[in-house]
Amino acid sequence: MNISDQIEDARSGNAAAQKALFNRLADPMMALCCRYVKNREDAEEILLDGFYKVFSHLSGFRYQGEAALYAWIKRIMVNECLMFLRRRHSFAVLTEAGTETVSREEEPLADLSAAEIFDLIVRLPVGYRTVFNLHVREGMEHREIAGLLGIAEGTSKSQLRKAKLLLRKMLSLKGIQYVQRKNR
Amino acid sequence: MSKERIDEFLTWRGQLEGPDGIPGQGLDDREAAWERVMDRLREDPRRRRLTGYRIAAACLLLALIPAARLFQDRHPDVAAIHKTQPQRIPPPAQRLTAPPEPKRPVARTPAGTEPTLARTPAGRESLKTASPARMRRPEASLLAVLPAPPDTITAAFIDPVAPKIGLKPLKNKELRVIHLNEIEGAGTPAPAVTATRPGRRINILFQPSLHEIALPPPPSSENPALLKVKLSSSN
Repeated sequence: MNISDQIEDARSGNAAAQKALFNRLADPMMALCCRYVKNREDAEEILLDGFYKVFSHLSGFRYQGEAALYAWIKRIMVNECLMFLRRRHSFAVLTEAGTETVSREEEPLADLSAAEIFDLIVRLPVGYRTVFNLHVREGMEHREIAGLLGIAEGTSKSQLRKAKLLLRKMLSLKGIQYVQRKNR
Repeated sequence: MSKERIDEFLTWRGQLEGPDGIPGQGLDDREAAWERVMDRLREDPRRRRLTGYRIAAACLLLALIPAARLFQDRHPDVAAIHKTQPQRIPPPAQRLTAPPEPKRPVARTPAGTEPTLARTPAGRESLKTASPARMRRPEASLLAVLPAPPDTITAAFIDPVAPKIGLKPLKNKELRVIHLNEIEGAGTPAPAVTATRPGRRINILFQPSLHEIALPPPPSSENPALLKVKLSSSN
């Protein structure tokens, strides 16, 4: 059964179609939630809330292709993550940082596995991690991020800058550890 | 920040996308998670129904408030209209039927007295008014205008303890028959019934004795409401 038929059946309330859709998208959406929230239990709660909203509002969704469906569900999950983070943290306390230059001698981030990248992102502080995810992973502009998080656009930019600096530091440390391990 | 620095992170997107992007990051127990989603979806219609009932009840209350105010505003008008209408009393249980003899207008006696009928030697029927000392003042001195057929005006004087008084002729006393409306004071318009229908017959029924007193023939059409009744005196 192709996904458009699955969507139609799920929209009409067919439990089997809904379950098939859930099985199809549960793992990627769980990974998305884990990028925003460190705790797996919290990430699972967010995932369930997100899918509840997906099936509740599926009747109003106009299917225009698998990519559009994926983007719609992903947007719902990101919003759920942000709502969760807003309840736990206050993004308003994030401050703009001074300009920090990055040494050109540091190698750009590359040749990392997905798991390693994921591990790096999760280790970032919540503010850095959120802005980084929204900008780099979801492709949002700083103006949009600022509106979502209730912060200034300049704060969003500074948070992203700090996130990248920290990632580079972590990668540098990782690289050094990797090199040292290799040498042993 | 330069464009190269931004792009270096964008390459991570491709690495993180897809089912193999992040191994080991999926749900631990997919079935259990699905059951929880289904439970929430099943609860939702019930919750929506309750919410719908609450909204409907609130709308009904909001709609009733102006309706109640409208009724409240109307009610004084209705009460005022009722006040201007003459008080009506249900007709008595017993009523006199139309006598076989030709009817004659009946005179209304002053309050506190009860008219009596006596036949004079000339054969003219006259109305006698008993002295107030002999009569017991009626307990119920209520005159009511009863809903009447188009050709008669009927009034009932309810006097449950009125003694039967024999008719005694009065001497040289005239009674003016007036319409009930004229009692209420000056300025009361002339009754439309007697003004427009000179031959109208007026019967006054006295309860419970139910005496129907026949009066002299009706006056001329010049002043149909005014009747002259000659009474004989006996005291």
